[in-house]
Amino acid sequence: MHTVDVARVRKRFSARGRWVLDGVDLAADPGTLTVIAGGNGSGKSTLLRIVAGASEPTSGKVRRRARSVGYVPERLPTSLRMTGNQYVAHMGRMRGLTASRAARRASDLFDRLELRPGPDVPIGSLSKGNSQKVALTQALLAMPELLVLDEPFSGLDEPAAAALIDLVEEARSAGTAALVSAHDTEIAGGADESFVLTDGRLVPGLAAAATMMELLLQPLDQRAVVAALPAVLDHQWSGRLLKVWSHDADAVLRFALGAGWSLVEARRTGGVR
Amino acid sequence: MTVALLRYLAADVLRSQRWVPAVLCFLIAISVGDAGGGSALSCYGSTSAAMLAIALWLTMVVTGSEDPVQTAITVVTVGGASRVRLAKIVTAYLACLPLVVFAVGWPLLVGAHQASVSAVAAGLVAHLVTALTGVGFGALLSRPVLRHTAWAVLLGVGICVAELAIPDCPPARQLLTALGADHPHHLAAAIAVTAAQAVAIAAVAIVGAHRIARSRA
Repeated sequence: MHTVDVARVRKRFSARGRWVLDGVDLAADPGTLTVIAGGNGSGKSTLLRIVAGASEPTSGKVRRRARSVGYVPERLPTSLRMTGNQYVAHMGRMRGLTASRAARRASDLFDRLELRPGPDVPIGSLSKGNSQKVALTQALLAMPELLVLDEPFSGLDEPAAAALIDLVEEARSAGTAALVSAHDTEIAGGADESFVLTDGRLVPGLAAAATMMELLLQPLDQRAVVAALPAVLDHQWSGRLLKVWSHDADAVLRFALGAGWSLVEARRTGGVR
Repeated sequence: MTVALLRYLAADVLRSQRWVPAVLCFLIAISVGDAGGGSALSCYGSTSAAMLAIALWLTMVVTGSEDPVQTAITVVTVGGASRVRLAKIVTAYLACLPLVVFAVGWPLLVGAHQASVSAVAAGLVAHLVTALTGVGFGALLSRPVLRHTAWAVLLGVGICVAELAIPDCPPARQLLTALGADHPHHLAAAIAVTAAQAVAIAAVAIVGAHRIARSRA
């Protein structure tokens, strides 16, 4: 039986708004890792929120939802007025853990993720990466049926990213289904299934076939450039340098050369950024 | 809904300190009500009316305390948005209880009032009832039912004014009239009827707010 199963899910945020999700089918089995890639604003977070149970679809069916879910949003709000230890203790109680068991597990997770300066510092004063570690800790306190991680690697330093990959593997070994929106090649490489969310729909298997191209552009309006590029899964700016990930490298290259841009680098990746 | 969830929500609201202005306003209202002289019952009439406004305010504070992303984590952790919404309403009502006790006890402790046990009981019920109605209205004016704070504040003030200005409007105006009378007749029956109406209003408001919030989730 699937841990989670959604069918023909559509979502929009206003009656006449665009469909952020437009007929998404997604199922995950126990112990599997599913990676969802997609550009900024493609609807990854919206889909993960629906799967986790934090949001409802406008139409479509959630056939099965996991009984216990660990959810990590893209960023833990800085308005949280508690220390890491206090917040995690509350989350542990809500998950039915005893205070001592929650404290032991939290301490272990904080150590492995190398939370700095420590768990007794207000979350609002932590850096993005360290507040992300608190979010990961609350999600992994009790091993959930489903782990939903929304861009968990953003802001994490290398040791923490490696520790997170280990933690996800441990959770999978314990039967947890993991659903990750990632721009990270390492975890995409170990995925049982990978999808790209584009135009509100999930396209299977494309994350593994993505090509990264680094382009040197003429000074232009950045938004217009990205909107004009065909078949772009994701992009990242660095001054006049534009990194794009695409499953149709030829189309991007034709467009770029036609626009008079220079190609700095092109390489195959295990997934999108 | 669990005690753990209530504890978490209460801890979050307490740390926010957004409840301080509401509580200060209520303390001022109690002082004014007490300074007005008259019987303890008439004092309870005015403070129970103030309780409605403060309960409405506190409900908006409690329901809006969490960041939406933080709420998403809470919803996922406890397994449902309905539980979290209900817990926030219960937390708001629980937050009103110390104020209710204070409002009922203050005129007896500090003022020159003497009141019978039945008068104190009437005051207690009056405050509990208006607090419940205030929480109900507060649920209707909170996110995601109303997304803009300015509209929520305007409507909240409008509701409070209407509660006081419209003759026989349950529960605030009715209680103000019943408790403020020189020689209240059938006080218990009047309060019981008002309480029943107030519970009905609060239930409709809370269920309505829940349905709207669910459709916007």
